[in-house]
Amino acid sequence: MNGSQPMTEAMYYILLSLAEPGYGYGMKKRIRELSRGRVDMGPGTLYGVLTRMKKDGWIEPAGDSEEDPRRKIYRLTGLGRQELLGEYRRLQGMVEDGSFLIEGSEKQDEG
Amino acid sequence: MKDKKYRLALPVYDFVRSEERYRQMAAEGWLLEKRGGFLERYRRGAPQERQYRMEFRPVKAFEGVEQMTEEELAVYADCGWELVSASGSGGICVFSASGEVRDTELYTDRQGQTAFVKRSRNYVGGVGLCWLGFWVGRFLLPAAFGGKTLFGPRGLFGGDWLFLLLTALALYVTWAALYGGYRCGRLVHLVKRGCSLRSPETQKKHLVGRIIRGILGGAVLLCAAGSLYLLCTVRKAPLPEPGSREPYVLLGEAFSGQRAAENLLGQPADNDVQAMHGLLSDNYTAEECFTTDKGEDLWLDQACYVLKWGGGPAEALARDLLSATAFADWDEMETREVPGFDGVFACPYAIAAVKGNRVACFTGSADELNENWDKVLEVLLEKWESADN
Repeated sequence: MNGSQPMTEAMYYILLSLAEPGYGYGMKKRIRELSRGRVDMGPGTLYGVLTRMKKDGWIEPAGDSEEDPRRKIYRLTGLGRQELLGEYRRLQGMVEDGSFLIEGSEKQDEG
Repeated sequence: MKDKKYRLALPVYDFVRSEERYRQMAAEGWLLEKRGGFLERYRRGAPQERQYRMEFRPVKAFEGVEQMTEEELAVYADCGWELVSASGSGGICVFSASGEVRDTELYTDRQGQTAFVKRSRNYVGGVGLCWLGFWVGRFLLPAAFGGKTLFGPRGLFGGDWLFLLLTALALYVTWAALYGGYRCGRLVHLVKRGCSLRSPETQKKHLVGRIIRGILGGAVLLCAAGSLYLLCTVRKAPLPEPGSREPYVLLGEAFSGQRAAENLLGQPADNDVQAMHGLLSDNYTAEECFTTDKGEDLWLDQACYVLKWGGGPAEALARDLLSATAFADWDEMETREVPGFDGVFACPYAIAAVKGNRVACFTGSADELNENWDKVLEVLLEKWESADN
């Protein structure tokens, strides 16, 4: 996993969900809310992506949950924030590129 | 009423079918308790709707299976998935959740699914290595250790029935490794292309696979049945007391004289045995080495039994001795008419003679035997007659 490649949907949403520190299942719920129910991550996917991001230094542990000490709380690192911003800009650029053509052709269709 | 039930596990690569089986069993009131490499154990419980999902843990060279962490288990548990079985050093896991669980898949992204299917392929590869180990043990090691087989009838691991059972097992893992490797490879390809793990396309079975499975399945059953038959029917003969007049011929008696420093003609028996014997055991493996007429050392690995002898087929006994002594096939043995004997049988390197309830077997180089066998038999007959008188 490195910054030169586009992120997967799971990676992007996990980074988004970590705008505030959170633990695995908390992130999952936040992602479902953020995506209005479109993205619902399985536990294998969630933990797999978290492990890779931790290894790459995009997120870091920030203590244990008070409710259940087995739940580890994570937060974004500077590198993780930078990657998220890069991906956001890439996606935004893609949407802008598309909107120029797609919205133009839609207007033509309506005309 | 039984509280436990055991079933043969489906192969690792057939995880979708396994998961469906566990679901059906739970609906019938049998909850999965343990999923091993070959067997599954269920316990009785209330019939219920449950979902099951298998997981294969990564295996690292020199480090072994990467075990699930407490944190990982907590994430699964928060999502409704409880670990019910971890076998193969924790590598093959089964999770269970109630029928209403929201997340029906453990992996919802393509990368995760591809990695999961690849791990299942690695486990099939592991099975393939077991298979390789068996055949190395069966065929290659004997060559390295002077003809002694690890698993064969005369090998370190016991008799014919065990050999057949292990052959059945080897056939099973052969099939699992070959067909499973093909199925997993295809699954990796399809999942990479975006197919779901449970789509009809990924679960489609091919005719070739069914044929291979049919043939190997039949062979496995045959071997297993043969193994069971041998296990139930073969019994070791009891040993007679030394000096008793029981109607037995011990190979030790049959061999006596021919294994000494001199042969029957009183000549130095430099071509005779140099190695060990355990002739008074009822079923043993003897290794012996003798020098052939070409000056080469030839190692024989022979299984010897106490043979019941009471007016039975002398010819069969004599031929058995030749077979055990010189690895001769029965149809290669020459029958000779010799006055004074009930039968004389010869093959290269060995001769067996029968008279009444006595049997003698002696070995030597082919040239020596051809030149001297009539003299040897003459001396033998004299010895037996003087013993009777």
